[in-house]
Amino acid sequence: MPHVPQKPNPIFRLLLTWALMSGLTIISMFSGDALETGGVTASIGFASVGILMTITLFKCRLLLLDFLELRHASPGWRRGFFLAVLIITAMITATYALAIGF
Amino acid sequence: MQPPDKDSDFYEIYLLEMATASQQSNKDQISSENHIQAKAEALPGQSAWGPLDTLPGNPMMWVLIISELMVFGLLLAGYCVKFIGDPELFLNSQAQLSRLIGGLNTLVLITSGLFAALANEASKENNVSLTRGYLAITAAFGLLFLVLKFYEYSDKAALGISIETNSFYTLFYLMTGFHAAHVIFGLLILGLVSCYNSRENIQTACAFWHMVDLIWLILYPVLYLVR
Repeated sequence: MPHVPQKPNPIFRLLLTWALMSGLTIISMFSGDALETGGVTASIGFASVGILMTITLFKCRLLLLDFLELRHASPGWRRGFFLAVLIITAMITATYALAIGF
Repeated sequence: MQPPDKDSDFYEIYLLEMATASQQSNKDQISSENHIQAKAEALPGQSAWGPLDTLPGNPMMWVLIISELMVFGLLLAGYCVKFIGDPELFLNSQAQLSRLIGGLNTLVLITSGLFAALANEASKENNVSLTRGYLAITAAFGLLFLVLKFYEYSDKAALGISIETNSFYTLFYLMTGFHAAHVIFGLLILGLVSCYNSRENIQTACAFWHMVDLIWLILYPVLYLVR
């Protein structure tokens, strides 16, 4: 009998997306010293800026695919929206590289 | 042609002819409309909204979502230009923000987004009461976001910080204020679709709410964390 892949439960997928996005937000908060109350101005470094922006990009992708239901839309729309977020995050990363250095 | 005199014998014949001509004209119009409808049905691949029809919800909402992304993208481009001009000012101003409240607000919006998505799933099964329940929870998290935002703004106001303090705060208040206005508008839409809960209305409102969520996901690290 041929193996038929089971469609994942949509509720489970949404909960998984939420857990991933929340977890990534908490990681971002720690890497950006969100718990420090002393008004930290020290640079977090270009690598951390890159990581933060990559996390942002990944979170946006999850939101676009699962919450905004672009997973079921045409590939053109998926690529278009992802490209828009990619341009914004790349612009921020490039700005910090220019202003603060690598 | 002049109509005959009202008192003449030909006047009734004239009225009868006019009524017949009017009926014929209506028939022609209906026939023409049916022809257009039949033509539209004969071409199922072609629709009024083109590629926008493949997106969930009302296509007009997607026009709005794309426009909003462009507006916030341009505001962020302005932020980048000003940041390069005076990084010290931006870093010192950013340090005065509460990164914790910004982070909590991100978690609040992500959770509200989850309940909006669950409302959308419930509406697929025509479960009206469950859909309304999820929408109410979504709105409650939206309100919590606004409460935290109000606390943050009042905290800054107590320190004498306003939109005119410097260019960082001008852009900060513009972007976060405009975003908060979208949250308020989103709450109104959620309330509306709880009453008029057709499948398309729920999808449309949820798409708007997720767009608001998406923009905050970008604003939080840029305004609060990255330095």
